[in-house]
Amino acid sequence: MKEFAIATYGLTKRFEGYIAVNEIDLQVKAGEVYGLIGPNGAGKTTLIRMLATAEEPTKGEIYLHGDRLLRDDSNHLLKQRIGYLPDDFPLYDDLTVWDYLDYFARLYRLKQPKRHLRIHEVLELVQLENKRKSLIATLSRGMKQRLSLARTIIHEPILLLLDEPVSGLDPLARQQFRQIIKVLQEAGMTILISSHVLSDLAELCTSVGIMELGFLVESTSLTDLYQRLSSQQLTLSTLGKMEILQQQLSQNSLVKTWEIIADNRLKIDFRGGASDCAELLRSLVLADIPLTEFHHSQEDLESIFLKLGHQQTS
Amino acid sequence: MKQNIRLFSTPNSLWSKLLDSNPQLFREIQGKLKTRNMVMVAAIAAIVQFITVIFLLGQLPDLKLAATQCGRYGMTVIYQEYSNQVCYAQNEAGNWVINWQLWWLDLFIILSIIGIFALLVIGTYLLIADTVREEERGTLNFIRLTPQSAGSVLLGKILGVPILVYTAIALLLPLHLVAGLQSHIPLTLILAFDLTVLASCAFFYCLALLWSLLDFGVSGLKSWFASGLLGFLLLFATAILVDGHAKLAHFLAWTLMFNPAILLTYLIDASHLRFGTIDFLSTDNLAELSFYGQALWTKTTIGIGLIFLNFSLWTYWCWAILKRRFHNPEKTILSKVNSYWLTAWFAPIALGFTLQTESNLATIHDDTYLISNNFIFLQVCLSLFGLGLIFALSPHRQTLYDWARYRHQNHGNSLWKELVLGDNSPATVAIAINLAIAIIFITPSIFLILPPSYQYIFWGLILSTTNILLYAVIAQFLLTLKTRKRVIWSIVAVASMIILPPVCLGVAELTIRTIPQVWLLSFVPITATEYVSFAAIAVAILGQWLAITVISLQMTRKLKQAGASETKILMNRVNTLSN
Repeated sequence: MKEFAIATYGLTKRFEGYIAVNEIDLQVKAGEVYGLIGPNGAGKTTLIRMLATAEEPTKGEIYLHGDRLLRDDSNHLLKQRIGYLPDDFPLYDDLTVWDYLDYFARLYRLKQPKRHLRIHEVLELVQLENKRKSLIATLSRGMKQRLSLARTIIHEPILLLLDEPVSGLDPLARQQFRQIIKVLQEAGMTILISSHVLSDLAELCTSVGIMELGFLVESTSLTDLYQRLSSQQLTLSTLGKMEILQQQLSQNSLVKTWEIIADNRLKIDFRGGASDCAELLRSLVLADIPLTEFHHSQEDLESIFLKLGHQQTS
Repeated sequence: MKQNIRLFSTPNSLWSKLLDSNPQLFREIQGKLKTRNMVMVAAIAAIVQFITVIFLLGQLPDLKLAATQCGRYGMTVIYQEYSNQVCYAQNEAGNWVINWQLWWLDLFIILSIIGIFALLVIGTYLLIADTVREEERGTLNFIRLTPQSAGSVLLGKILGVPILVYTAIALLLPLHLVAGLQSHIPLTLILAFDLTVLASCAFFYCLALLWSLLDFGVSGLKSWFASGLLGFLLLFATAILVDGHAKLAHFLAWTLMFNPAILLTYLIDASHLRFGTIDFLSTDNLAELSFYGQALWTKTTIGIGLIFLNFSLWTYWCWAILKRRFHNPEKTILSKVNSYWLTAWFAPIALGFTLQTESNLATIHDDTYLISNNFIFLQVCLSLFGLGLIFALSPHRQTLYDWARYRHQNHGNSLWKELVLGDNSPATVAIAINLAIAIIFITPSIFLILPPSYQYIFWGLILSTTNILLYAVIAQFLLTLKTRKRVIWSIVAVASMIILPPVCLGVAELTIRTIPQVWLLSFVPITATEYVSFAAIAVAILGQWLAITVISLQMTRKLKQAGASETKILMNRVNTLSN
């Protein structure tokens, strides 16, 4: 059990007339970035809230690195290991950025001189150093989100729980956020992240879990998911005649279908591996086809998610 | 002007170590100790002291007038036919002779009462407003997730949120101390008074935090309502003290123990000023108050000790509840085990103040009358305590349904053990046990102290406890309703069961003496048991138990339905449809 940063057994949460989280057995290995996807109302936020002790489970057990997590005064050490960033992030508008982080650093028992050192570190990481004397009320949404992330990691947690961390951010702010997450992953943190921006998850995650109706219907590594469910696509452009190219492609058994997407450009559904891909290119070149583009791509996470059809709320 | 005051002049000072040890205190002080705030507080404290002193100086004789002047601080008594008058006389040097000791004592009393009101009323307001704001904004949840203990966070709030009030009081203290010493009150007594005021702050602040953590859905009014009510009650209790002629041989005199101003009685007594010069509760008055017939409040040390103990023990209970509530606001306010201890502590204290004797009563009969009268108040007090238990112990719909659904998987305890000790089970059995504890403790004194003709009091108590049980079952049943306003519905239902019968009977002019039988089902059945036969009492009790049983059975049926698994519910629906 100790090998798992997070392990839940029969985790269930009921609200009034429905079951938000239903008998979930989740296992996340230490050092992983685990993406949680699913439609709104599938139970992602409730699951993350229970993992962060912000919600009491109706039934079931949670273990972090083998230690039982309970929602009371008894878990000082476990709480020290968790960093939780909810989708709404209330802040104290009357405090400055520095004072806010200093307050939370104290709440997480960081002593001087390490406290000041750590605040400088996280401010540098979230690129808010020049704002450290500004009042929180004057920050933009993206800055507030980065400040919240700084608060979440101020105590160097080994498990990060991020609930929709990039919602409402512009593309630049999202990119900054992704960079920070990558740095944190390199630092060895286990990260569980829920998001609707699946391209971000595809870039960041090592594993994903798909939730539907309160159930965890899929939980696997990203590589495995792509292997099982993603089809490869090749995009080709030629200066010659399309008919010759199509004739050549039809001779390859690994090419299933193709679709002409422009005058001299087509997209192929290809079932082979990397070496098969190279072999196809060689055969086309040997057939004197004037190729100007040979681009290999994979079906993205969003398409896989839509293909799976897990879109029911609990 | 809005700059923070430097909190760390030297990083290793005791002050900075204290702030380091409690981050919540650091946060509160950081947010509030700003130069502008401090200047305002200092100005207010100075103005209050200035106005008080000027007001009292205004009572002194006019130096320009040569004629005889009378007033409070004179030293010469002029005997008149109806009332004696205290007037100022001039000494041989031609100066007015003034009772400066009394003047200082008045200043001491006024500053004390201002201090108590400021600390308790403004302090509770600030605490509730701050906590409710944090809870609404969601920031309190972040603090809950940190490794700080509930005790540390709550202590930080109590010490930090009213920091400006503390500062103002600290600025009043020097004059307060000088006034006390000038009026010849021993320093130890002044310090004991200050300590007791601090103990009262601890109690009321814990109560305020507990109040702010309760979820009613009307958070905006919470601070105004609580501090307003406290201010009104304090004003009332202080008016009784200042009146000086209150009769304390009464059950309700217990409530005066919650006003720290009662300690001023001992301080005034220690100044040895002439009796009759000060309109404040005297120690002779205080001697009327007894506990199990013992006049414990006559001696200064024991009296102050008991008042301090009263605050400390209530603070302990509030603190225990607060710590439980802070980390898990969905839990019931009290655990069932704690409720048994609380009742076992509350019942003996309430009984102690019921068994009052009055030393100057002419006959034993008068004593008996006083005690039997007090039992009516005890019954009302016990009923209110019971209502409090219903509120504190009854789990809400979701908790009950979860308990019914997952009881077997989660605990595996027997049903009775769950009902008696489990926090998520229905509260009815626990409330019955609590009421039984109280009855078992109170009953012997009814039979041992009162003559046989007063045994109707016992039946009154029994009827009132079964009444409470009935309210508990109804409240618990209504708390399982599907509507979101179930808490309000259960409060309305219980309140109307308490208020409507006496109002209706009063409107119909059916008094206790004309038709006492129906009054047996009111909130105060003890007033009617005196006038009815045993058979009527027995019928009333049987009726109550019948109602309790019917509602309990209905509730059990509902919980069984809720406890069924999803498959079972689905199969039932399929069966219903196929039929």
